[in-house]
Order: sequence, then C-alpha cells, then structure tokens
Amino acid sequence: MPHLKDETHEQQSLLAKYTRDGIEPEMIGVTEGRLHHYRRLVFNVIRESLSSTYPLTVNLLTQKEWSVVCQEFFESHDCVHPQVWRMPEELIAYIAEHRQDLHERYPQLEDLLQLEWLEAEYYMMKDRNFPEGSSKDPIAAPWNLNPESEIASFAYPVHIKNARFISPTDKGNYYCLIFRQRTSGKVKFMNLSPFLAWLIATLKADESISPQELFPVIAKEFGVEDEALLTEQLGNFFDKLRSDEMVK
Amino acid sequence: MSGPFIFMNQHVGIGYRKDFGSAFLNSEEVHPAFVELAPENWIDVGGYWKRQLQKVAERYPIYSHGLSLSVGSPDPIDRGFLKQVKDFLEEWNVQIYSEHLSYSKCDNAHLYDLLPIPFREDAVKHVSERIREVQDFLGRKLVIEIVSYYTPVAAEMTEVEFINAILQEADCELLFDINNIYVNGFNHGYDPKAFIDQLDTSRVRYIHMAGHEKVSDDLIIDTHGQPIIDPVYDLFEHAIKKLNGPVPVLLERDFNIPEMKELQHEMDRLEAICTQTWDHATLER
Repeated sequence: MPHLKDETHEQQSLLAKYTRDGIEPEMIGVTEGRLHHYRRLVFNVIRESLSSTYPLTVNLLTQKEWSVVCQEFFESHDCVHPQVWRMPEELIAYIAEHRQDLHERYPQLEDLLQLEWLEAEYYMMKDRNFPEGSSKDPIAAPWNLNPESEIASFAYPVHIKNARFISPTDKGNYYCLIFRQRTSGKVKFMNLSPFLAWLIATLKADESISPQELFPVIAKEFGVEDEALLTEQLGNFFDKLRSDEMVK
Repeated sequence: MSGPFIFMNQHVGIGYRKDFGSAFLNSEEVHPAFVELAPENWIDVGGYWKRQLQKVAERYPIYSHGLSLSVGSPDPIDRGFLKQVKDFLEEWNVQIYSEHLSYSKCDNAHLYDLLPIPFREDAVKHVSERIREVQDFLGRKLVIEIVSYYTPVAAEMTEVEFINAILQEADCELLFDINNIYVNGFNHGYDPKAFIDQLDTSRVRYIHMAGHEKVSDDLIIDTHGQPIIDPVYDLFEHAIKKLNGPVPVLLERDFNIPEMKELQHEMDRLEAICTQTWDHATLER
C-alpha cells in the first residue's frame, strides 16, 4: 500500500518540474524568493555536463542556439541515466528527433555529436582486455587488435577538419578508427580509407583470420592484385597501429 | 607510499575528486585517514581513471557517498542501479555507503541535484520503507545525510522531527553534515546547536564538514567551494561531544580547489578537535 499522499507527491513533482521548465509554480509553504536557486543549481549541472562533453558542438552553434537546445532538452526530455556523465549521450537522440532544423542548418552536427560522445564514452568506459599474446606476423598471422576500439562512419569529416569550416561540399564517406590507448588511457582517432576500414572491421569480426587470407577478396573487391605492394603497405599500416597501441 | 615519518590522519578523510587526482596521489602534503567518492562517478569506469582509483585504493580505505539513489523520490527505487552500487561497494571494499535524505529523480527523470522532501508523516513512511528496501538489498545499513535546503516544501512537521522519525522508522544510520546544519540554521532561522541537541545522535556513523558561500544577508548556498568557517568548526566541536565515540570525519571540497597543503591544514584542524575530544581513540576500520 503506497504511503505517499497524492498531495505530497504533487508538491515534489511541482518542484522537480520547476527546475526543468523555470515556470514558478504555486506550492505549499515555500519561502519567497528561494525556489529559483533550485532551478539555477539544477540547470547549471545539466548545462555544464553537456558543454564539457560537447565542446566542439558548443563552438559550432551560436551561444543562443546552444542555450536553447540545452534548455529544451532538459525541459522536455526525461533524463534516464543515474550517472550524470552518461546523460549527454541522450542529447544526440533528442536533437535528431526534435531539432531537425539544427541538422539542416549544420549538416555536420549529427556526426560531430557522435564523435564527441564516442570520445567521452571511450575515455571513461569499462576496461576490455587485449587477448593474450602478440601478433606474430603482420601479414601471415591474425592481428591482436585493441578490443577498446570501433570504426565510425561519417558523412562529414568531423574527425579531421574543424567543424566550423565544413561545408556541404565536404559530404562523402569517411571512416574513423576510435580506440583507447592502454598505457595513457587517451582516446585516439585515425582517419581510414574505405579499404582499411573494411580490413580492420573484417579482422575484428573474425579474430582467427590473417590479412594474407583476405588477399583474394582484396583483389576481387578492391582491385589490388600486387601482393608485394600490398604486403609492404599493410606492414607499414600494422607498424603504425602497433606504435599507437591499436594492435599488439 | 607515504614515508614512515608522515603522520596519517586518524579520523579525517577527504573527498576524492578527479580534478585533483594526480596532485593528490603525487603529493606528500595530504595524508587523509580515508577517501570518499561518489559511486555514480566511478561505476563501470575504466582506463586512466580506474588505474588512478586503484592507486588510491592501495593507499586509503574508500568510503562512498551516493548522488542518484534518490531515496526521497516518489518513484520506485531503481533496482538495476542499486545492483550496480552493490557490486561497486563490494569491488572496492567500501566500508561506509551514505546517501542524501532528499530526492534527485522525480516522475522518471533524473535531475542530478538534491531537492528537499516535504517534512510530512506520509513522506516519513514512504522514505523509510525505501531506505529499508535499500538496506535489505545491500545487506548493510544506509547512512543518510541531512541535506542543506533553501526552502521547505509543504512541511507539516519540523525538520528535526522528520529526521528523527526516519531514523527510527527506517532503522538507518545518520551522516551528520555539520555545514549543512549550520547552513539550514542560518537559512531558516534556527539555532543549529539546539537542532543537534534534539537529534538522535546515537545513530551518527559519519560526519561531513565543508565550506559554503553566503550569497545574501539571509541566504547561504552549500557550495563546498570555500574553506570551513570558524562557526562551523565550533558547531563541529559541539556535535562530536554528543557522540558516544569516534566516527570518521570528511572534508568536502568540490570547487575552487586550493593547494593540497591548504586542504591538509583544514584536515589537521579537524583532526586536532577529534583527537582532543576522543582522547586518541582510533577508528574501527
């Protein structure tokens, strides 16, 4: 049997709603001139958390656009995550659903938000351990890839170009490898060609396969038949990945 | 590790923040008895921060002070989140888990700050039942904090009646936040010493101390952004004399983080008061 009376629940709801919409409610027994501190304190947490997660988006939008979107998001979206650092992820779906006008004004916005959230998420996320051992050969053996990694595909080059200078003519197919370095904990972004994105994705999907086993597919799908050149270039790529701690 | 000649605090710990994590670990200028952190900021966190926390845990006992359980909420307890908290407490061998006597979630939306519960009999029963639910799930007593508040809402009883009733009905423990009691006394015009004298101090398990900011002639905001002021030290001394024995004391500092030695200076002052009052008793750890 619930203990809480409807009136008590209502008073709690009114205060909570006020912190979200800023419209001062008629409440029982509140001290005059004090409620607004709750609105200010709560909204500061929201705005600070969003702004620190999306600094590039803050820089892309006008101050007014950013203020309005933060305000509208908090007012009309029920934040579901108990961990405040995870809350900003919810902004991405909110903007996609409710602020299509922003996406039209800034076509790169969707990719930028995704990139910034991935950086925050990868920096904080739970550890995933590398499988045992090191890659035995860059061509003839499977690669021991960093499990704290993924490939994001973007329509705009938000990972290699200042979002403010991206124009509709930049639209294309971009691939970005995102991974967390084990020793420093830093999150790195690496621009990939479609071929290298496919290669990494294929090797990640089947950890028992070697690049060499993919040579026939590479020849057929990408038209690269010079195995000596392919071996050299993949060897160089492997070395770079290893120096960046993307492969062990 | 600290050298053998560094005096470690016996009673006084400090809130561990990522902001000063590196300075904290690399400095010999702070030597708290324990550190406190919010599980919400660390659950399922890996990488650099987890390694930092592992280093901290090797040096200090960890206490935990929650932000999002929202025991005062009209909504049901989030069992999934509570399970995460339980796992976290076990993983890090957390000896004290405290939460706020307030609500930070309402009508299925998190607000990420602490709102005051109406001081009412039905709220006492509702919140007490939720605290008991949490205690049953965790298999430990919950330590609830007296929060600072800037306006009462729909109150039908006094604050101290409300708190004592919950302590009794929930059979939980109390986090004595001395700064909050001072702030509330100032903001709502009551004598904080008289307030403490009316509380059931036998349930005090833990103490928080912090600074605040006076924003107008009749309002203090609980910012944790300033050093502790003398009247709060006086209130602390008054409060701990009411206790049966030593409990851990935490220095909270969340903004305007000063040099480590300044934080240690505050801890030293608190430690001296503890030692004088508790006659060199040591904490059970």
